[in-house]
Amino acid sequence: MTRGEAIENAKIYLERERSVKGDGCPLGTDIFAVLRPLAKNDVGAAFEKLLETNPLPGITGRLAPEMYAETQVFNKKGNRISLRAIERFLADNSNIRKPAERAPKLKQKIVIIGSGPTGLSAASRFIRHGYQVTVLESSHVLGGSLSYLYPVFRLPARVVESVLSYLGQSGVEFSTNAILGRDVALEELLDKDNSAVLLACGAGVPKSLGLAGEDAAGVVAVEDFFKLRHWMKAGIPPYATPLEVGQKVVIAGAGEKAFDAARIMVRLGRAVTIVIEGSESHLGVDPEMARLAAEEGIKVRTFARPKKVLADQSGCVKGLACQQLDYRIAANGALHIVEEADAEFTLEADTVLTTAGVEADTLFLRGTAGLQFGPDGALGTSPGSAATPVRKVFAAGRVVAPSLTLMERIMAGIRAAAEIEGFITT
Amino acid sequence: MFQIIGKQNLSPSIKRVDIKADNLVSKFKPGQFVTVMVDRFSRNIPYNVLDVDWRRKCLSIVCEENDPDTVKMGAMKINDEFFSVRGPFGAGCPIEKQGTIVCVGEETGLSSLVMLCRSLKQVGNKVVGIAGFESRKNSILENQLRLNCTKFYVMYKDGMHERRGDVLIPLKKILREEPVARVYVDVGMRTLEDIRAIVEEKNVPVSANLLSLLAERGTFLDTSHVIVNGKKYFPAVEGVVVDLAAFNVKELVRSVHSAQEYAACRRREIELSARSSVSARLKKFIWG
Repeated sequence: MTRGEAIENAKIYLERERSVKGDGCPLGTDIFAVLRPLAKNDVGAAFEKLLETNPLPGITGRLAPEMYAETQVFNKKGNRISLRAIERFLADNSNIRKPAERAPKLKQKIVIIGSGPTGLSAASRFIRHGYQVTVLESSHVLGGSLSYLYPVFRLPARVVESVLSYLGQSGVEFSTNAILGRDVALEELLDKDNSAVLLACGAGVPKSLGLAGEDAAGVVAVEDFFKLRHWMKAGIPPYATPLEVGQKVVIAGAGEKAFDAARIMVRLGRAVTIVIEGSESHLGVDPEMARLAAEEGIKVRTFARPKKVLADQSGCVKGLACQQLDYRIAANGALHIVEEADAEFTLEADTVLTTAGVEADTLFLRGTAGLQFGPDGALGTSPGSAATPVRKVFAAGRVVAPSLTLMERIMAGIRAAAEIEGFITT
Repeated sequence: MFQIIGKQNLSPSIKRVDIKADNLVSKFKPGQFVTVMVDRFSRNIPYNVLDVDWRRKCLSIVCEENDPDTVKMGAMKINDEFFSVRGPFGAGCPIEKQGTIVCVGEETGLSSLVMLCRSLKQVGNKVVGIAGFESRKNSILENQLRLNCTKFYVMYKDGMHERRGDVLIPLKKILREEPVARVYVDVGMRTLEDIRAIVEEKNVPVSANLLSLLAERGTFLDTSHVIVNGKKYFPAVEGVVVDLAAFNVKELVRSVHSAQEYAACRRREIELSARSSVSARLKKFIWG
């Protein structure tokens, strides 16, 4: 989107201000307050306004689902105006690289564990309100899931880098290679004069599908594949980490991660098939992404349930045995998926990627006294609050609820930050 | 941040590196390990920790130069910095008074035993160390172990120095002569199986350090796991020192062999595609 288009779209949108009902933004951004300065060609002011409620506009402008207003607004060419595209334009084109003006630094220090979307959105709010913030990241790369879970064609590395550098210039201290529960102890952080600790360690532990033969060499969880590719730069010279992926790749499971992995594989010259249990309406991605994936030659095998990973004599994967499924329409119109009798088939594969969801990244925290964990490893907090049983320790994001979406994680960070501010001031 | 503050050439291809790591050292327990990245381009390599110096706030690792990354590490000088040193990983070994404890190591496997022997001796155990080498020129860490053990045996397979033979000879002798509470081993797979056979007869528990085996399985991530006895086993959390009676090492060995075979297949594919692209370019050059 060019500057001219952005301004024109903003003007059209503002003309319909009275007829447009709600902008659908879960972060509560008043889109008209953002568009007003933009319509006057003041990109910086529009961006500042956007930053008040959305700390990561460059990221949400790329990854968040399009939140169309209930009333659709079209531009002169007859295309629907995308608020997400305007958000992205503002993040990419505003010249604000200087830290925002903020209140003088307060004495209170807050430590955030994890530099993913929850941690960064909380850090952003704290720093705007004048607190001293330290973010500890366990990996050698900052950004948490933002640094590994999204391929560069969806989220360029420079976008995350610009957020990190903006926060860094604003006064947030970042520290990498710091593993809570290992070289950093929670008690130690509480003993120091920190006012609160926010645990936002995310959920990076992949679950397994529970298939027979899943321990064969060549079966990799999508999350691990992303970490190897994006953190360790596997297969990208001059990085030394090898990329061990065969020519035929089968991805078991639907969703954005499956499609992102498939699109990376296609770019690496691999033949990819995605196996999903439902129909084409159960892909778990927006239609645009499904269309792009189909255009890139990714095959989707619908109505198929993975049953067993087949391995050769040396224990390397050679295929995925699947059960053919069918559907029946019940009397109430609901779709029921049923197994077809004696209808099994095998997909040849050198590599099988699995997406079965993730567990909270609390592997190193389990021995910490006072913290409570659910059966899936998720951290326990008070109902409707981010407070944990340990005083001054709060938790938010996927470490509490591993299935949160990106927008929900950002919101969780903002809410937890607000709760911590309330806790500190009282 | 992770500066090299000391370096020793233990043998032509084996180096000891002392790394400044303020936060890590105070939390270290024997049997834990770290992961190291030489620079941002290198692999994430797990290493046993040879020793920790709380005063200088540094930890020492032993690096054998056997691939480009470790050669790069071997070439680093004092004051150079590592890109990343993370840890401590694993659960560590329980340090308590048990009686006579035998620690058996071969070649670089001895690096995991120095700190362990010292800690076990400090709490009042009789620690018998057994070190095995191919020849005198491969010999490393002899003096450190001698200092930290109550009794120490060195075996050379070529017999050119001290005792000839493998580590099994003194182990059998000790097991015959006195009651042994536990045996700690960090040896190759073949020796491990032999030790297991000998020790199981006497009903002595054996703990084995499997880091070198796990490292061969491929790139190490915090969430890397293997499925053993039908359960997920996370080395970064549960540790690399396992009780052989409860841990199915054969399953792990099979999984490591499969991973190596798989990696070899992928390397062959890359070589073939590189060759075919060269021949295609050559044909194009010749035929236009």
